Amino acid sequence: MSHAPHLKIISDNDAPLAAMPAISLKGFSAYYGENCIISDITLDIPRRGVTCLIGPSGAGKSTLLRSLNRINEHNAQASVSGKADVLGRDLASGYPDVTDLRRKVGMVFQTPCVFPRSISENVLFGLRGQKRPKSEKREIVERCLKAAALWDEVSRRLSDSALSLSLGQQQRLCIARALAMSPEILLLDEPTASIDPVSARAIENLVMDLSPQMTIIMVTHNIAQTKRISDHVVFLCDGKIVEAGAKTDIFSRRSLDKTRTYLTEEFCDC
Amino acid sequence: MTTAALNTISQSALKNRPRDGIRTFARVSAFGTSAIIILILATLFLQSGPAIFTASDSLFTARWNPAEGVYGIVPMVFGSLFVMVIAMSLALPIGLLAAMAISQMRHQGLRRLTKSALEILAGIPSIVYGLIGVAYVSIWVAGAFDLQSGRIILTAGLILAVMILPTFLSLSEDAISSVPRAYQENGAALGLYPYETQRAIILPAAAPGISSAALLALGRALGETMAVMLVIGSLDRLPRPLFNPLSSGQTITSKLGREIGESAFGSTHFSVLVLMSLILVTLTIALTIAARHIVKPGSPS
Repeated sequence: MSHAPHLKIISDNDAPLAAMPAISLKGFSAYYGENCIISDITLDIPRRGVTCLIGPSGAGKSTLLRSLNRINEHNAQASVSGKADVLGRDLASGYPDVTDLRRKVGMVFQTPCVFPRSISENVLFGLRGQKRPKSEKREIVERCLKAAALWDEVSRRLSDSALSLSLGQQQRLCIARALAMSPEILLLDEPTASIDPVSARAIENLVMDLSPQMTIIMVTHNIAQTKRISDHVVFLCDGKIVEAGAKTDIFSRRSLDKTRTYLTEEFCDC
Repeated sequence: MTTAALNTISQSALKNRPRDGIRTFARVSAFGTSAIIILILATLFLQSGPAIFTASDSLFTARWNPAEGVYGIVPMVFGSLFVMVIAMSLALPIGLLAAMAISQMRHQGLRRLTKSALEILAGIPSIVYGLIGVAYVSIWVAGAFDLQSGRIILTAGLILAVMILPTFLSLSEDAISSVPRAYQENGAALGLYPYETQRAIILPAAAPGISSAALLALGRALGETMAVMLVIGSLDRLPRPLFNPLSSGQTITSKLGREIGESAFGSTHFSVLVLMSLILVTLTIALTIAARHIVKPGSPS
């Protein structure tokens, strides 16, 4: 295992980041079989706001994200080591029933995947098994679709198949579906990568609107997008954190040379 | 037309020749298959005609006695349906649950091993199942239910269930595994247990494949002869009471297997046996059509 990475918290104004982190990793590593994808990282992610994980392909961004709600366990080869606290509880022992963790830590994937059901059924899908009055269900559907900036487009066809929506709308529906669970943390794995620019911008606005209420951790390759929507940035390369801190500092001249090179040339030589 | 243009045309004609050959072969195969089915049905209709005209009085009774000219086919039709229902009601739920469990296996090596074992089981000749049924299962059933003989409808149903299980399980697992894994992952990301996503999304999406697997199983259950013939007890009578699985019985196939060699070609006896096979074919077609209408595709993306 490699030595601890250089983690640089640039801003002194990041006291809440250290005081009340939503996620705290210490010496955290993730593996697929024998391959170490994330190597011994230490990182605190603050509560509320948008934290963007950036870095070249293969840096371990998605692996890190998938480790945070233990969805990586779907792969028999995946394993993790080190200390990881999510919302104050240990990632493994603090959540003996992994579904408890996943209800608190929602996730939206790169490719929209709506279920072959109606739009409203999709929104309520995560609440299956919970008995609620119809009026409350309607209220949840409306609230979540409004939060996902989709209500105006689908309010008159809630019983239509979700497969009839465009990809951008499907992705917002996936976000609405995740929001219906009232998660405290929302993980977004390149949510705008496979959709058109207009829909991507709608999702960016949505992420910014949601950020005061919840912790959003988003993987992105889009530097301009990171600049537009993030509050904090974590720059990963080759499974290690190169630099992490507030957006204003990462995008300033005070950041490391490697970071500046990546931000300007989207190239990393680590 | 210029020489170059002629060359181009002749070259494209040469390129198209293999494709035309394949198309012709496909058409001949399709027509050939349809013709064979029509010929079989036509033969069955023609050969069963004498039975309808000469034995129509006794056909739909529960008594079978060729010596007296009594050819009641009801016990055989009932026996076929009864054995099929027992086999399907055992094999379908077990097979479906096992298919779901196998599709959830994270260890790919173990999954492949299980699938290979199932395919080997599906390929075992039916006579072997029949021998196991005679040597072990019927004795066990007789002991369990305190019967003089274990060669009864229940034993036939049990053996048939074991026989159709590997085919149904393997094909159902294929259908479930072909549903995009993203559904499972998205369901898990919403905090749902795997069985919740499977029940709500995966199974409806895999329903057409599962129903095809069930139809194949059903076809085998209705058409299986040898194993059933060995363990059913071959009694040309309706069970008493009617739905008593501990009674001996007879199915259409076991009847045909036993008596087709003894009946003279062109006789009423032979014609009644052909009529029973026509009923068997009709039953299979009717159930196939019914199942296709009942099971609507789950429209996976």
